[in-house]
Amino acid sequence: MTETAIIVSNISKTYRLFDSTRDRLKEALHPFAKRYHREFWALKDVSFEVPRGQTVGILGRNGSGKSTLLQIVAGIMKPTSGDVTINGRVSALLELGAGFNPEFTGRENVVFQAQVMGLSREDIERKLPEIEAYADIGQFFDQPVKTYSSGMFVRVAFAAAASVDPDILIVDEALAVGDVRFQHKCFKTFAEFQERRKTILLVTHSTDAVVNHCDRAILLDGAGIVANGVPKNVVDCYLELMFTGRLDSYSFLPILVEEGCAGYNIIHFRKEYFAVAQQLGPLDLAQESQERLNEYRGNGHIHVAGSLQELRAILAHADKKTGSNLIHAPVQDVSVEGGDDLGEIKAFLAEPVFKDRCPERKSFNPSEYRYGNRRGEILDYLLVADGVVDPIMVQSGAKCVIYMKVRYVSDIQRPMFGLAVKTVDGQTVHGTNTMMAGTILSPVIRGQTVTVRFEWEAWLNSGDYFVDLGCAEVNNGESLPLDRRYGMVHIAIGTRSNFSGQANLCASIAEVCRTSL
Amino acid sequence: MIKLFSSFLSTLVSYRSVIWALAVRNFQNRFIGTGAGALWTIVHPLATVLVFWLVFSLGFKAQGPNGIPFVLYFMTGFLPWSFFSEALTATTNAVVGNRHLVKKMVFPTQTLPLVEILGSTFGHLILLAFTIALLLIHGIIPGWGVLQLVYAYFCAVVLILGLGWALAAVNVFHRDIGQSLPTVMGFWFWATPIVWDVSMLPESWRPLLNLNPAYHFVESYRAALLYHRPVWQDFTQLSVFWVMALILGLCGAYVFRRLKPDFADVM
Repeated sequence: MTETAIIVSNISKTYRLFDSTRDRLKEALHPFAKRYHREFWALKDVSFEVPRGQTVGILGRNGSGKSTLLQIVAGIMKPTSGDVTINGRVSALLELGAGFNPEFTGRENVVFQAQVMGLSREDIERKLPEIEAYADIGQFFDQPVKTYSSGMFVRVAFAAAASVDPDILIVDEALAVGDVRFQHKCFKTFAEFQERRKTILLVTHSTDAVVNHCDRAILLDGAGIVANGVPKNVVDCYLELMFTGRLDSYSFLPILVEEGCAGYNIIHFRKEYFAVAQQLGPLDLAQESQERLNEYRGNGHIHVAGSLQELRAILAHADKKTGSNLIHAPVQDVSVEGGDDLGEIKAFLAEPVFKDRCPERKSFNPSEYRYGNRRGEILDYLLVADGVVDPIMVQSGAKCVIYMKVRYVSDIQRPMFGLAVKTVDGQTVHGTNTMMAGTILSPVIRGQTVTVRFEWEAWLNSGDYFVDLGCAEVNNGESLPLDRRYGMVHIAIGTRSNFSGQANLCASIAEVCRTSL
Repeated sequence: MIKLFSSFLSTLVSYRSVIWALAVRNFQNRFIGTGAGALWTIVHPLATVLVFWLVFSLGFKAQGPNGIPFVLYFMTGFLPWSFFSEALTATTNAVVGNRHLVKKMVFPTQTLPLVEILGSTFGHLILLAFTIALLLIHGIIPGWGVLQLVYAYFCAVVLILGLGWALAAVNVFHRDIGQSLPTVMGFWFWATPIVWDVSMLPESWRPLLNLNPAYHFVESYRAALLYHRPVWQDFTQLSVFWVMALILGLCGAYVFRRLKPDFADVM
């Protein structure tokens, strides 16, 4: 079998909008192809490839073209222009419905669907008990589909779609109506499919599902692909898009800014400037894996900075010490114990702040993802763990305090602050904000700097974690981000005990007694 | 165009098991929730036959041609007509009635008219059995000519398929088609010699009747069941029918093919 499962090249889909159905008929049958319609672009020049065995999540706002794209890939709709090449058998579960006739029972519908897919009578008979068990809806399996709840519906539909042993499985938002246990079962099936090198295309609004189960994500907006890459990064873009309605100053395709600057090519990509050593030859940043890029960054072949000036400064410096890694300060493998840094904290709180001083902190993560309208700006923060200021390593269970300074450039009626602790994969371990906590804060005035104190206990397993800090404005119960800095604080957790999982629940095990009769 | 037509036919062949499954469901579907079930297939046409028998045989003392009892003459003509009329009406709604297949699955919708035709055939067979019983009661024992029923049925199917493809496709965009069809079928019924006999027409008008595509298969049913004569006796009638049926078939396939990509967009 070919290694590329799905090739979508330059597809566009226009819906023809007619003023009346009569116009539509006149146009369809007109011998000289006279036009009677206006056009609406649901997809515009969309191209991507999915290698066999990959699971791709498709994100996007409502109306961004996700469902149209899946319908085209599934072969239900024809694109207006462009080509779709599919290698393998496709099974699609599109929204609710999936070709079920409401008058017939679940069993009859499953049999029919399998017949349309080209399965033989014996195959179907053999698989039916399996499907029935998977759907697990009891006697409803033999009741007309019209009596089903939407959850039952999707159980049967998913069981049927997965059972025909497709090479490519397409699932459109359907799983959200299933209960947690069923969703868990579905994701287990996905994992089995992944192991068997089957391709999955998944439309969902659950960013966790994308981060946890997809190898890659595609973000659609305004009928086109705006981001295509590592799930975590694409999810960041999606969240920005959802909360602000647009992607600010975000460059989706790598743009060459300057060639041969101190032996590096400077490329603008994803809000950052990359200096790529010329000796690496041509390098497509959009296609390189994250691990590879990290490796290049580690050995000094690539430098990254938030602005062009900053990058030039780094390059000027790098020139003197070729090959050394200047972005990340060398990690000191020591943990400061017990010291009382009260004075330092007091100094931090007293000091006025006018420019962004976050990058000066040791725990600052230069590849943070930042967005918001900046009517209030996070200018500084201070992490204190068990009394130690800006530690390199935090012990599991340590009492952590993060002070955050936000300077406002306009009046905000209802300010709000939040924090989230995430794993390296972008999974949220814990997140909260003043709205969730039920705290209503008084209005802030332009020119004020507000210092906020977050306090929490780091009952985590050892490893790297990132903390998101954010400030927002509450407006009609919705939060409008002023400044969100995702993954800004990098925390390395160390544990003395040994356990699995993410959270340290301090479990202990003891034998109570032994008896023998 | 010929290629298009043959690709349509080959789809019908390759999806035969699906078509059969759908046809069985289709038949069941018509009677889901009714107490009498499949009995309804026969009750409706029989009621019509009863009315015509009362009005024409008892009321007007009408006689069939050559002294054939009116009820037999009428029944043998009404049998194919009721099939034709029912199947064509069902076919017209074949695409709009199967939204879930068009919008949610990769499904060859061109098979749907055939599904409706097969669904109507079940009822047709029951009515055929009744007709043969009626003939036997009147002492008419069907001979070898009965085998021609297969041909007569085939004629009706080809005609319904061609017309049905066009009507089903256009009906997606213009529901007026489905609405106006019963009226059209009402006129068509009286324009076909079912109640009346060809001999009632002036000699010079008779060739015009060949232009009614329903004429040939109705006469073929009668040739098989009642007259015991070969269907090709009137060769002009037969050839005019086949020319028309094939043209309708090609046009129907063409219209369906042209409109099909837009089905999912408007439904």
